[in-house]
Amino acid sequence: MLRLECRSYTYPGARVAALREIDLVVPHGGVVGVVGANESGKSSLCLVASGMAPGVVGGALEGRLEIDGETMTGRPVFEIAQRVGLGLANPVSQLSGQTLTVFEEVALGPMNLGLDAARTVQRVEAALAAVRIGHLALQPPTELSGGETQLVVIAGLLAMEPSHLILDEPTSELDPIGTRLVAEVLHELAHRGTALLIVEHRTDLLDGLCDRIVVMDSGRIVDEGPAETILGQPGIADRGIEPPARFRLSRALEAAGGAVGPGSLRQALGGWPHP
Amino acid sequence: MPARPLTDPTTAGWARALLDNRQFASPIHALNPLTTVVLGGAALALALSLPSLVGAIALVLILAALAVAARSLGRLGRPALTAAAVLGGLIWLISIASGGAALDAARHAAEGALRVASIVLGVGLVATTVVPAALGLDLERRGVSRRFATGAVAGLGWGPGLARRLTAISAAQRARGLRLARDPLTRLRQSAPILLPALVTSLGGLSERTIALEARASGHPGRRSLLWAPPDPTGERLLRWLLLVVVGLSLVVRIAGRAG
Repeated sequence: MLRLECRSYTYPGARVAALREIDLVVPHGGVVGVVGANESGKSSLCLVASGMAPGVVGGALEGRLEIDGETMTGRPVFEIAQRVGLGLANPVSQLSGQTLTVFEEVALGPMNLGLDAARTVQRVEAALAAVRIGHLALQPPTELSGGETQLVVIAGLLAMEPSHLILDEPTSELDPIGTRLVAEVLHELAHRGTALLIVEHRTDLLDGLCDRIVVMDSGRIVDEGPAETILGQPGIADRGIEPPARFRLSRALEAAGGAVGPGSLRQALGGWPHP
Repeated sequence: MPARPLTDPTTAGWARALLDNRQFASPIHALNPLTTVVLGGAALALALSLPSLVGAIALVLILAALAVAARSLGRLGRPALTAAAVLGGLIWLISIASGGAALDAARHAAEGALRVASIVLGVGLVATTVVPAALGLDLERRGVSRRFATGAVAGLGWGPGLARRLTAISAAQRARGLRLARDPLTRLRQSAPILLPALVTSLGGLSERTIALEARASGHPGRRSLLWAPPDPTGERLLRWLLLVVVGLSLVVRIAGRAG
């Protein structure tokens, strides 16, 4: 179980804390979604929950990060990285630039840990299979689509064999095909019991994937509960969160009454985004 | 610690596949990356130390032949000629202005032009034929620290990466109507919408890449394991030693000549 108790986290040079009074739990096998408007602290939450802040980013954390009861706060980042993986939005900037093939890119973590070749290969094969990109193993990582590249990044994290995976807007820079690719793999990982913490603006991706949803605003968790309850709240759009299509459609149908057609639906849905 | 041979059937299969997977544009690209780096370094040292015009001509001819073999002459020829013309012209002007004979001025200009062309060709050969990742692996296999090898990879990859980013941003800005003037000063002033985003995105990308690498234990102390490394045939090892000896001799002759 990953537990973050954060009284405050402040970036280096900042006067105001980016996170306040956070108590977040991601149980083994659990899938937790994080939603909120821009600048609500979602990415900061990912950085702190993965140990990258203050470990790499710097800043001041009041509180502690625990994984399976062990305190991770203050430990070297390479140790925390073996317990919790962090994936960011832009897949290309997460490539190491040091490898010639997808296989080597995924192998980078185990190689950095100094694992022997047999264990490295075993981990890489398992990670490639988990995200279904075994066929890309000998491709150059720089010549893949955005969705495929994001899967390479996720495979690279899985090769570290973390118990928890944190993904900060994994589909925000992907086209619909890439989004679908990543979404399918996330469902597969969740089905296999990988604990996930996913920040996403696209609530349709979280709907059906997450057990729980955390709502953030101004660096705090302002609401938390089962995904069905939180995402189905009528007032969720007032917090800058687009409800999933099925909720919008259901309300649109309800509002349209008997006269359901493309025109009335567009009016009721507000035209954009389309369900 | 050198990489251990991959004897396990599974790992050996992958190592073979990773090696066989590489496709080379030319025999020069297929050289061990350290051989190419030593070649480039030797070209640089010889360009500065070869004592005669004949030596400078021979060096340019050898490097031009290598550039042809690497299919890079088209990319390297223009910058080499430009640098040679600029430096040669400057030397000629300075020699004439300082009262030198026309023939001496021409000889000095030709020598300077040939030396700078050699430097451009030598450095260019390394830049266009060495795959940074392969060089990093090769250095680590030889016992060089991971930090240094990563620095070498990043250093070699920085130029092409920036060029790709500038090309993409230029295309995007042109699509938004940016038209660069022919006049160099105006062009430089107009380049701000290209250079600033390139700088900002490269800094942002650097921060994300650092986090991504740390997430894969790049800060782990000690040597990392290697799955494969570029082959290093005996012939290439001999060639590297030979180049070092030639450079050493050239430096000795140069220094002795000055002292005499």
